[in-house]
Amino acid sequence: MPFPRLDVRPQLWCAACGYVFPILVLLALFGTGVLPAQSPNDSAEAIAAWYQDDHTRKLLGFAGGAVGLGLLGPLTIAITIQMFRIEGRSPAMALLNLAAGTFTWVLTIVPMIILCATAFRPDRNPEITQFGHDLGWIMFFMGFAPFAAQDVAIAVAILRDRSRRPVFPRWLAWFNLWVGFLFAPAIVIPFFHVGPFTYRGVLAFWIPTLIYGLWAIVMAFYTQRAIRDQEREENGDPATPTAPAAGDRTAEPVAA
Amino acid sequence: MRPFPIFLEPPGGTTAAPSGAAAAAAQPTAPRPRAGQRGWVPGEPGLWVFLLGDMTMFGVFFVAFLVQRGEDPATFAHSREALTVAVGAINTVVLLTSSLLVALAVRAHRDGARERSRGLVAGAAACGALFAVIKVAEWATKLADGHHPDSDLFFTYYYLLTGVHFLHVLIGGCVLTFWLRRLGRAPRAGEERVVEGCASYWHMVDLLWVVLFPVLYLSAT
Repeated sequence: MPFPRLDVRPQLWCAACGYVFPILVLLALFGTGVLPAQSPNDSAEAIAAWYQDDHTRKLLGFAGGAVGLGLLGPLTIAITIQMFRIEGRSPAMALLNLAAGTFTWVLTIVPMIILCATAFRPDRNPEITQFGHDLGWIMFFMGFAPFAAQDVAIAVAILRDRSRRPVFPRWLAWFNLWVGFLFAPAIVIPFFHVGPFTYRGVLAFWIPTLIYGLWAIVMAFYTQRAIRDQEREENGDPATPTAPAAGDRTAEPVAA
Repeated sequence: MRPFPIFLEPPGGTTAAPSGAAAAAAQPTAPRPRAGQRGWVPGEPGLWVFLLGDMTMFGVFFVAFLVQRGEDPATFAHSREALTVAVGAINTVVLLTSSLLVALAVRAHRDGARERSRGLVAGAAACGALFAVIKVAEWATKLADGHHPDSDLFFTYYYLLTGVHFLHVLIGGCVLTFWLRRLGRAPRAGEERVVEGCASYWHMVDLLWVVLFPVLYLSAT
């Protein structure tokens, strides 16, 4: 029974969100000066004063961050579909990737909303503003913990892909494991008020933030490549007559 | 009607039977360079993305520690004296021994001495377990003496750095167990690469400790 041509364009759009998302988020958060966050060591009055000063710009920053982080979901979806191709009928890692990615998606947008609410009434009791500030940023960076599960899921799926034409390159598995390890320090954020592990320190903030952006761009690129491979396999490609026929992704182990 | 959505279909579709063996024969893979030859990488090249990346992360940890120590040398020097250098030194010897056993196991594996290799890996795993026991006992002693992670910044770093390293040791234990199980089964194609990958990870765990020990226990401000 012939099937209609596979339309991979929505998948490609989803994956392309991975290029836009880090740029949009970093522009919104750094461009408006809401990142790096005010130090956890500052007094409640200093933090309240920061929110009072030009508070529309801060609201714009948090709202822009929430919009940008919204694009994280589509990237997760595209990665999940390509992981289905690896795992076939036993897609445990693909679904773990989907669940963990969705959780990270929510747990990074919610803090932006909390920070918006913190900036919403700049003239309230400073201690409440300080609490909103702490809650928002601690949740934002600690919310990356399930992201480590997503990295491990992707890595396990790639390493177990024993077909002759793997969906993703193998080194991408090790890259994902490394990124997962890098996010481990974010767990210690609530223990620190000064130093590199606070929510504005180099280890818990700068490295994860920038590496996360890099991860999204790298994953978007290789997911798009995998989607184009899928299109060639299932539709055939007249432009490249050597393109392998459908079903070439056999479970045949590779002789290393 | 298809039984599965397209992405859940068995590889090769529900109709066409895959001819994997014939296809594999048609595409010979280039021979892998032998150990010591030009172009040879222990394990698989992609693994080194992880290993070098992980060591870079520890490098940043060490730099952060040294920078903060520079800001408050008196506290760091005083708290460092509460550590027992002998315990750290014993653990260093234990890990170095395990690394030697792992290196000998890889050599035995290359020589085809599977049983000897298995014994050596088991020895390395035992050393790893000994390291973990000593580490936990050390933590318990320090906690009993009233040195908590929030006592001062030195102890924050002490628990954090040794804790993250301990996590690496635990994962290393899983890696060595996996290696042992593999050696208990019939040899497989490409096994040497897996064995080298496991060994490379364990050497990294050892190397990290060899840097961590002098930074935390020995170096005066």
